Amino acid sequence: MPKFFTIARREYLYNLQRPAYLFSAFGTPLIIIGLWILIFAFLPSDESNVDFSRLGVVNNAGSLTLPATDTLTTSDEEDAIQYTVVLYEDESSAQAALDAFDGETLTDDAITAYFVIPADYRETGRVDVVSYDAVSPDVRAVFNEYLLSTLSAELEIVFPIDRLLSPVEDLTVLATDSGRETTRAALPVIVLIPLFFAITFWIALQTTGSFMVNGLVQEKSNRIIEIIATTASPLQIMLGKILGLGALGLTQVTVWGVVAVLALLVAPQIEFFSALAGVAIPFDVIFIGFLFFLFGYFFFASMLAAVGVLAGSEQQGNQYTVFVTMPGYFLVIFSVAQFIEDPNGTLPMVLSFLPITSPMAMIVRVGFASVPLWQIAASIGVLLFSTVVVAWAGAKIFRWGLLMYGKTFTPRDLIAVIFGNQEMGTTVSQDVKQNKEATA
Amino acid sequence: MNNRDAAIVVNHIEKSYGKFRAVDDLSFDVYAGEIFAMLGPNGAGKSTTIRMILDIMRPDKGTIDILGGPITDAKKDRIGYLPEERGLYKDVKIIDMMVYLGTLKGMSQKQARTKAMDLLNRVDLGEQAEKKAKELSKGMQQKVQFAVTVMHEPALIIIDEPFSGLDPVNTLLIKDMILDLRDQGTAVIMSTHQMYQIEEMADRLLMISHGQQALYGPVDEVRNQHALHAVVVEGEGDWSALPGITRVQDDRNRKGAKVLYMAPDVTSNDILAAIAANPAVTVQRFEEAVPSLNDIFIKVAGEDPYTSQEQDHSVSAAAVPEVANA
Repeated sequence: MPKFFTIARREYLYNLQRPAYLFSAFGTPLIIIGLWILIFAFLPSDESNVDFSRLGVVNNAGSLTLPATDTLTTSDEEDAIQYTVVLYEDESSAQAALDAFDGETLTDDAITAYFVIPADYRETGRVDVVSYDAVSPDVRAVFNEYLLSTLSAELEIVFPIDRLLSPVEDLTVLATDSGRETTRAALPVIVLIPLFFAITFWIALQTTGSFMVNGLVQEKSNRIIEIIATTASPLQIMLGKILGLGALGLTQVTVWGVVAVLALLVAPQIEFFSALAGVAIPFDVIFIGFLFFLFGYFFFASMLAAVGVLAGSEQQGNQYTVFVTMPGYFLVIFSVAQFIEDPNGTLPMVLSFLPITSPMAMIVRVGFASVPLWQIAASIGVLLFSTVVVAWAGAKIFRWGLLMYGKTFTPRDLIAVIFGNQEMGTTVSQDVKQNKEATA
Repeated sequence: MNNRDAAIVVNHIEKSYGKFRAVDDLSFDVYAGEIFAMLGPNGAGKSTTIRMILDIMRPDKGTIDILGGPITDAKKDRIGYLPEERGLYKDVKIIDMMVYLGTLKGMSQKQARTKAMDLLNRVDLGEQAEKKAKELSKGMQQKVQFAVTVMHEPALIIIDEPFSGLDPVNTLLIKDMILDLRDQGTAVIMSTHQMYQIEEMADRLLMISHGQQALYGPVDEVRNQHALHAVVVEGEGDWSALPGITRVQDDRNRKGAKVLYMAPDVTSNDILAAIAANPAVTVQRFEEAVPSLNDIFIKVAGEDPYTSQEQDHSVSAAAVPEVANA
């Protein structure tokens, strides 16, 4: 078995069971789902459970002629409720019917609310509602429709009432550039998916990046690295760590992706998420997202491996990690407005080509607009080329710094290491130098 | 030595850091089935040499053959290395860490687990296998580190200060294990400042000073080469009155003992006869003045013995007056 594979497997299995990872990979999505459920669990509590299927109306407006009874059905197809509206002669008879409701079963002579149309209704449009229970928006909508049918009959309108109520009922946006069909309700979701991907990428990178850096700092401080470095070459160690932690990050992104897809599949079945019904799962975005995650990860991981061997402490390691990963993240997050406004504008375009931002920027662009295939290919090309360059330089620094403890380095040192032909640096050479200085 | 197969052939290696030459034209061989001691003052080039053997760095000049040729990745699996600065994963179970390091050396998971448990039992740590390193005492950790070094049954082990931090009981335990490995044909390179351990265990030694070979050969031979033309005595009387004695000096290594330097044509038998013939002196102890490795080390390294940091518990009784007088 190649040594990098043994190292990769160890990095993967060891970090997989760490609480920090479990929380990041599974805890976060669970918390998000939990929050959703909580939010939606509290929303329905606003609605009373009272049966409002029988309503009364008292017509004091002489100009209006209302039917003695009318039945209406809510437009909601799945849980359609049939409402009966009964006309009462005066408020006292309506009140009697209201009082006849025992609060539980609605008999044929009882109602749960009655509307009073005043004499000046035609001028003011005012209607009063009397009920012992909170009147839900649904009930108001039903009454609205009831009045509309009457009014439209008077106006002899031939169009269905629904069209008058909502001239544009189902707005299908055929985005001219992405070709992705979307409904108005689904639009926020379409915007959220690429952002979700970008943020997932960043969280996975932060998690695995800090494992990489802290793992190296620990192995150096406990000197296990001495044993590993005399068994496997620096390149194998670096490759093993990058692959193992990459698989870890990929596991995390996969978990999140599966949860997201499941959410999109399951959510529409739940009434409160019905808005998501119009969302087609953007598999192309997901595919490109994975592609950019992979290449982007290798780019950053090569840098973080180099950073890890240079860090003297975990604290320093975390600072370096932030220094490597943050600029790209902030550049994308701060320009989200531009991405939404004009996904193919100059700034989003530039950011989707810069290797430090492209894994996030390109996925956001692809989600918001149609990006020419050549741009996606070119961006991946730039990212791959940069990854090769960074991995080459990172490997040199990794080799140089692997067995060096407590040495401070200058950018000049690093340039010398990258472009020179430095072999593994060691603290031995430091010892010898000190010895030489002492004896000189 | 059971076997004269060369495990390591070092051939005129050189290594410089900038203008400073850390290792200068060094050559030596290490054989299978021997304990080869490597000693020398701090900064003499021992660690640099070990790192070149381990392929962490390459010599500027010269060649190093490991197990019959240049080092390869596969050969690294046949080397066990106990670095001077060492440690363990703090929050990983001992057995898991050993299995990982074993598989990294090419063992299967199962082999590594079995062998690790064997070794842990041998060093009385079988019950600690499921514990984490941070729960073990320093001495226990040292034993685990030694077990890690030998668990993959290497043909060559390089151990740097194997006894540091161990109590006498555990020192004996590890020492027996090293001797067993030697008897099984393992080539052992041991770097240590504990000279008496070298005297007790090592077959041959190499002393490096200023990057160069200062002493090289079988331990007994090296000591005999530095034998003084003198005897060490303990007893009463005026030693300088004996015929054939040129100088009398206190033995630094043994309180009350004297070092008697003999004239060139005088032998220790002559002195013994003279003592027997002289009723004015009584002797309780009489022996050839063979210097301890410690004395030789100090003499060769040219350090002042009275300010030297080296701790020694030499069992040999002899002085090196040239140094003592310096």
